[in-house]
Amino acid sequence: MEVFDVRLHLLWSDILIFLLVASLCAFIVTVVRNPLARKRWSQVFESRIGSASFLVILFYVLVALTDSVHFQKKLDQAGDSGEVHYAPEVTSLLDLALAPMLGRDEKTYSAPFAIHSFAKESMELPEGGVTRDYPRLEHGGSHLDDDSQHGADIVVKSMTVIGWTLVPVLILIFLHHSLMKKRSSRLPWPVIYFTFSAIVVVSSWALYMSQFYHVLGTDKVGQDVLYGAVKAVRTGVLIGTLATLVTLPLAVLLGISAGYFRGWIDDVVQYIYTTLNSIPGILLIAASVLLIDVYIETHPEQFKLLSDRADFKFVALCFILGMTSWTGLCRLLRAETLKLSQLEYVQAAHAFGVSRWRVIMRHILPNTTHLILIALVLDFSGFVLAEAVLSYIGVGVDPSMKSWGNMINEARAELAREPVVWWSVIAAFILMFVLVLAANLFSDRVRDAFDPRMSGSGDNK
Amino acid sequence: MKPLLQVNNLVIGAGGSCLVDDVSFEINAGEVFALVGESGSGKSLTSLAIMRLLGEGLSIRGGDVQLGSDSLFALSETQMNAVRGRRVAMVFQEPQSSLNPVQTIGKQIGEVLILHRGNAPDTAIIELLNEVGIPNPEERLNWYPHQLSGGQKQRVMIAMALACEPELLIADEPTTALDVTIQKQILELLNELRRSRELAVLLITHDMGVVAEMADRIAVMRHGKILEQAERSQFFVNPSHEYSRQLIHALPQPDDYLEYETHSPLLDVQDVKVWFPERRGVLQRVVGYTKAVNGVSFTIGRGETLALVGESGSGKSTVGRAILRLEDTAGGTIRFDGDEIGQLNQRRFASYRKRIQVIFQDPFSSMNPRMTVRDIIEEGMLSLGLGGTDESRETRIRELLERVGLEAGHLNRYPHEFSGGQRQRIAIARAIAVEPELIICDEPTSALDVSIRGQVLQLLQELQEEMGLSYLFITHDLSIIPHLAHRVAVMRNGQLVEQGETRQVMTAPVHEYTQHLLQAVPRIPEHA
Repeated sequence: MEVFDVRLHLLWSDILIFLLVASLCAFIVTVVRNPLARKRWSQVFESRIGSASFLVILFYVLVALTDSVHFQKKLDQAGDSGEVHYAPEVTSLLDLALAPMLGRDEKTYSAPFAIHSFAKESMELPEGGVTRDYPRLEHGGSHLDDDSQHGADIVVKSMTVIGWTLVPVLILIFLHHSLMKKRSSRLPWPVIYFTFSAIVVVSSWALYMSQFYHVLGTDKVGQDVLYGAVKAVRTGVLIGTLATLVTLPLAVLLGISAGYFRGWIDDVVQYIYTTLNSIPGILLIAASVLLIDVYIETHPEQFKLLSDRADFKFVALCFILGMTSWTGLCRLLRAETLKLSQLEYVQAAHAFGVSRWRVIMRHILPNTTHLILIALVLDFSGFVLAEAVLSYIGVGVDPSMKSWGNMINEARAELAREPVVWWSVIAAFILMFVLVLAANLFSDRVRDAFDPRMSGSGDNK
Repeated sequence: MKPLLQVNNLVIGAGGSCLVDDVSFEINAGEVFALVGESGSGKSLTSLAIMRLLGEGLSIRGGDVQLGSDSLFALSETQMNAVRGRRVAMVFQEPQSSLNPVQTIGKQIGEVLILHRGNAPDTAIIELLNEVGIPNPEERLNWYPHQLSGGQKQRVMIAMALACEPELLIADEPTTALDVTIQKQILELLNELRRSRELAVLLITHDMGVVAEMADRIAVMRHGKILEQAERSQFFVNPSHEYSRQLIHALPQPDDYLEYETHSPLLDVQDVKVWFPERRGVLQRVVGYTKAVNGVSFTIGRGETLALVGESGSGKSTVGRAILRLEDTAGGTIRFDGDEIGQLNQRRFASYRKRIQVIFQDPFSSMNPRMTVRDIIEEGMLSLGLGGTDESRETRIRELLERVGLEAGHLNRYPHEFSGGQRQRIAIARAIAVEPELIICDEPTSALDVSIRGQVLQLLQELQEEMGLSYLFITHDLSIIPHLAHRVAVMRNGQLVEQGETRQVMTAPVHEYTQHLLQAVPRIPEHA
């Protein structure tokens, strides 16, 4: 059983991401049980933008999840001591899926779909003598017998794979559609079908084509850019969600209690966030990251594998980012709570002797959700982008970890080159852009659906 | 004589609906024409259409407006700008938000003058301020809006409107946000100005009292249509349309007093003080107190209504909040049913929460917009442990809703789906859900239209009879007091100036301030 010769190796961030998914499932169960909440959420999915952006986010999350099941492969027995050795690097399920892109490294840069290298090299001619030309890539387009078929080959292969994926997708859609005819549903199925088939077709096309070419080119050391960009999805999704989840309880708890209880609690909270805000954020993050580095250096026994170190640093970075950026939302929530607690419905609740905890949970928190949601998404996008900035000054995620920030940072120097090396930046940009846009659109719909004053205003487009 | 303003068959629409339908009227120079109607009747839209200032999504579908010899709808935007301010000026309801808080009033009036006349000498501004009755205009020229009282701000707004000597003044609910005494002054000012300047006034209001005092001719609007137009004398004596009759009759009869009987005391308030500390400096030292309520004493009997009357800022709402223990008292005793409750902590006071309830003024902010009607009514019952099992509580909530005149099917709706009057009914249902003995009504009707106001007051009175409720009715509206309250207490600057049986206080007020207040109330001629 060759396949099972692996050892599961869970990283800290893997555990966190699965805890997150578990709590998300629990949340969905409570939503389904509560008829009112179900109605609200179904409103989100009944809007075209809502369901399309949800599918896109779901796809990203799925990629991140498959990339979060890590294991070590068993090494071939070197000696006969009977000891089983495992590979020092960890592999994820995603790596298996992306197998065609692995082990096909070129020497250096090459453009998307190119069959020649991007840089000229001195080559010895068979009949003697040296010429300087673009060398043929070792893997990209290596199946071609005749280089002149290059263009035609790309078109033919693309058509074939798109055709072959569309057929099962269309059959699936048709089956589902005929099944759904009997049940009434208000979901915008055409949009869902379209988004679904777009995602499936694009991903299988990229996967198939990367058997033959480097779809998004290669980077400085000749690695496939598409592989890096897809691996970076996990980093992006995780840094966004984890850091946001760290800021959220801090901001909500401190902001609402400062605004509601006032007095010395307010003084203390204000003191904390004013102090925190007066320290330059980057400095604080850099200092904390260096502390983490020192910790890793002094405790090598806790980090057996290279990826353990990278992962520890990554999780720490999420927490540091979260701890240093809750002040904005906290301040907003404090102000909003100050305003809300003066409103007559809060006074009426006090007159009914409703406990303070219940007043906060029923009257104040629900009426600040729009602020929280907006801040959440802006923070999410902000953290994904902050990661890029931090990688730039060298305190971001570990360079061995694939991330959009690292990709942009590496490609930065090459942007000045002529002809320009654009594919690394573009790949990171597109993947980041799609994620951030989908998150923004989705949260927009959620906010609309949960604001009772908005519903029924014909906004369900 | 040709009328100054002629509105012919005006139609305003938004999307598929018609908001103002075929409205025609005319106003002569020196005449006050009142456009009366409840909220949403299209009266403000009509005035905005005359100025061509309709908001986005609204459009003029037909008709025409003649000002003097010009057809306003035929003018270009530039020509129209010359009409606005110079020939037609507007005064709005809320002087607070109509003035720019960071500019002196002199500068703001000057701006209008410069726009339309090219120069703004201080003397012209001072003259204007003088005309609208601002004392010491030379000095107040350099004041900022926040240094003026509400009435003075409205005077400044009128001065700005008059700055370019318009022919027509559109006054959109000019006194609604003001106290009665101030309202009287402003109305007198408007009356004087129209006489001295031969000014035509289009007065938009929902207050029949104001109409009776001011208007020469009256048009009643409902659902975008003018139902009736008549001279004042004709209108009040013999209204031709059923709706006009309703509006006039919705006004409480001025001498329909409740019989006063003695009641066993329920609430006894003695010498209560509520002082808000003023803090200064880094250490937040208390340097003084704002004495919002300074020694107020009264009693309310079982099944009795005490009206607490006063102008804004007199501390009447603070008294209510102190009784509810939403505000700490600085002195005095509050006895409820014989027990001292003024100094109880929140936990010990909890058992009295069930017995003392409150209804607030603004039906839009008194309910959490994210809770359904069921949650809103249920909240108090749950918190105070009433209503038993889920089923019995559910039936109780349904009964309550039906009792206050709503349908049980409304339970799952949200507050924003209801009109102001319906929301106030929900608030009443919420308060009586815990079967209180005393309800503090903090201006429960001042945000409602006249006809709705009558219905809500009616409901409160029915509930009083059924449940033996006592009310502390906090209001600035003197006209509703006679047939509502058994006794009246008049408050001013944190102190009671007079209290007694309603009939006695209303007909033979002893204190000068009470007399002053009563005189300021606009009167309607006796109607048949």
